[in-house]
Amino acid sequence: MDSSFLISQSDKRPMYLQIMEQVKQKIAVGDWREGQAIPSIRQLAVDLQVSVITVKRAYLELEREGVIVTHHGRGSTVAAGVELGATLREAELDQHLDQAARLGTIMGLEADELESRLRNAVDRVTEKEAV
Amino acid sequence: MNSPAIQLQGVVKRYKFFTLDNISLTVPEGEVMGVIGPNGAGKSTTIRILMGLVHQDRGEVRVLGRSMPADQVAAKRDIGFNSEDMRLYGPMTIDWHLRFARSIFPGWDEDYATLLLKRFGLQREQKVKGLSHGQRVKAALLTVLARRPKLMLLDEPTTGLDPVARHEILRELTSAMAEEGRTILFSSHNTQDVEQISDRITFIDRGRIIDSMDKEKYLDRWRRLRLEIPSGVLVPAVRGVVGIKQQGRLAVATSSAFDDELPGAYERAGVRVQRVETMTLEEIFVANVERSREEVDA
Amino acid sequence: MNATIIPQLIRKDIDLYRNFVIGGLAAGVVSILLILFGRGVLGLIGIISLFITMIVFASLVTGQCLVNERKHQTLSFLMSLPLSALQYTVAKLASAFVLFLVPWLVLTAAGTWIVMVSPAIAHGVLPMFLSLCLMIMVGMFLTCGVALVAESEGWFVTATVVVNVSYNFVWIAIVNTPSLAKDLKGPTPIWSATMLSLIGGELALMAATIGLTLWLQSRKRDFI
Repeated sequence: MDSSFLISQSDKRPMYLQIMEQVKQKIAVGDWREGQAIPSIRQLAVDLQVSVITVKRAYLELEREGVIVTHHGRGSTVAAGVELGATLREAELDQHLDQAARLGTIMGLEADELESRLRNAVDRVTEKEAV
Repeated sequence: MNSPAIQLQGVVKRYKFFTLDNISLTVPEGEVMGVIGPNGAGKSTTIRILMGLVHQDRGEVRVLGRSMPADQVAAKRDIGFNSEDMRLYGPMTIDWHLRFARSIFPGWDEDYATLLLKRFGLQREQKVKGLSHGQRVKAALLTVLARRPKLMLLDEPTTGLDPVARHEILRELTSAMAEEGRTILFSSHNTQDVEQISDRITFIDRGRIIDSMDKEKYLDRWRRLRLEIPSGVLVPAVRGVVGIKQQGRLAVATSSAFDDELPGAYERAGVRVQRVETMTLEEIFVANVERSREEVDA
Repeated sequence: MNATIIPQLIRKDIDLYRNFVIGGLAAGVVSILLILFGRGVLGLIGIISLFITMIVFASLVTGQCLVNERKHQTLSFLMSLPLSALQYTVAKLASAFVLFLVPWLVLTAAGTWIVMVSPAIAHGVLPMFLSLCLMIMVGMFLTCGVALVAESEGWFVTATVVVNVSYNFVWIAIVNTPSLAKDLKGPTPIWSATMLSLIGGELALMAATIGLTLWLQSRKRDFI
């Protein structure tokens, strides 16, 4: 029984998204391996003290994304061939870019203004790395 | 397909200063239904009607397949009830209450009762009158939980409890759902508890049900949009938006039926959508009540 | 399974009010001792206190046992158990009866024994003594009924006062009824037709009270 999940109250994102992210993290770092059985929906709901429907939704979305596989009547397992390390980073990058885009819109920047600022940022970072 | 655990159909109950009006609600077996409402909304009355303690003036009430209040004796064998104004017998010990409950309910799980005593930090030999409020609530809930009833009807089970006690109770309620075929209906004005453990949520206000839906759907469909309105631009009425509050050039729109097309409706009218925010259940609840009261008053 | 719930409720009340019964017994024993060993006035006080003990105890038992369920908010705990309003009422009337019975039996028996054994007391008094004892039990059921049906402590107190005051009038009426009064001073207990109809009337009133209470309770639409 795995009770190392944690739903954070200060995290404004919906619970099911937090669950999804934590499942992906476990897979990404290798704690949960390909083909390994993961906790049943009911069991995880009990461990996390959340409604069954929230876990069900998380598992449904994870299955849709190809991260887990649900075997009818026998629970769920980690999908084969899941390369999550990279996917997580992709998601993180997209998150940061979305944030930048939002801020830019609020500040009234046009898309190419944002683009040039991004180039500047890349330059800055490359410079720092070189030093 | 089992019959629903709870079925209310057109239930009406009239009191001198309050009417429970046309309550219809179905809770299938295996679900956790959270009922949210302000004080005096009718949560307690509804739960009492479900228990057969109050006889409805009109409408049909079926609990665990049995008609209430006619069949209440049989139904109550499988129902665990607790309410915020319920008390145990002060001069008697917790152990006395456990033995009393055990003598009446064949499904009593003594091992679980012992475990719960430990988890709740209670001791058998304590007299009820010497317990703090939180301890008393936990003791009362213990007598319900240890029976493993098919249906639990709980009227504000976490009200007035400190965060640790609340956590302990929620843990046992969700634990109970690990067993198939068990159902919980609970009322609360602690929206966080309801948001956490409910499968479905019903909002009740001034004697009427104003909304009842899947919890995840609620959280998906309600959004707050922060708008920036350039001068000279009129804010359009957009379908799915239940309220707008504007001050100067900034406005906040609340939507109860959000989809990805919605911001576009504003953008096309020249209104800038700065941000789309999710709403907590509490915010959804307050917005829902405001909307419903406006509709009634109009 | 359901058949055992009423005995369990009675047992619960016995657990809760055991001390009352002991207290009532103690007060009763004091009265008996006063009668047995008290000279003159003390003996008379003993007799009066015997009845007063019974009357007070009846009020206390009904008050605590019945009114407290609502007052201390334990009623919803009970009604969440698998029982109907009618079963609850039966259990409550039975509890009050059982709790009251112990001191009442002791006092009635002791009183009877004293009347029959004591040379100073005319044995003819016995039927009236018993009818008075029975009257107190009837009064107890009356106040029980009011407490259960009216659901209010105020009404219960009113009923208690009315019943207790009316004991006086009933007693005076009995003592002033020639057909009963003439048998009081005799050496043997006489069960005249009048006396038997008095006792029969008391029993009938008790049965009617219980029946009416049960009927009214079963028709209630809002039990809480």
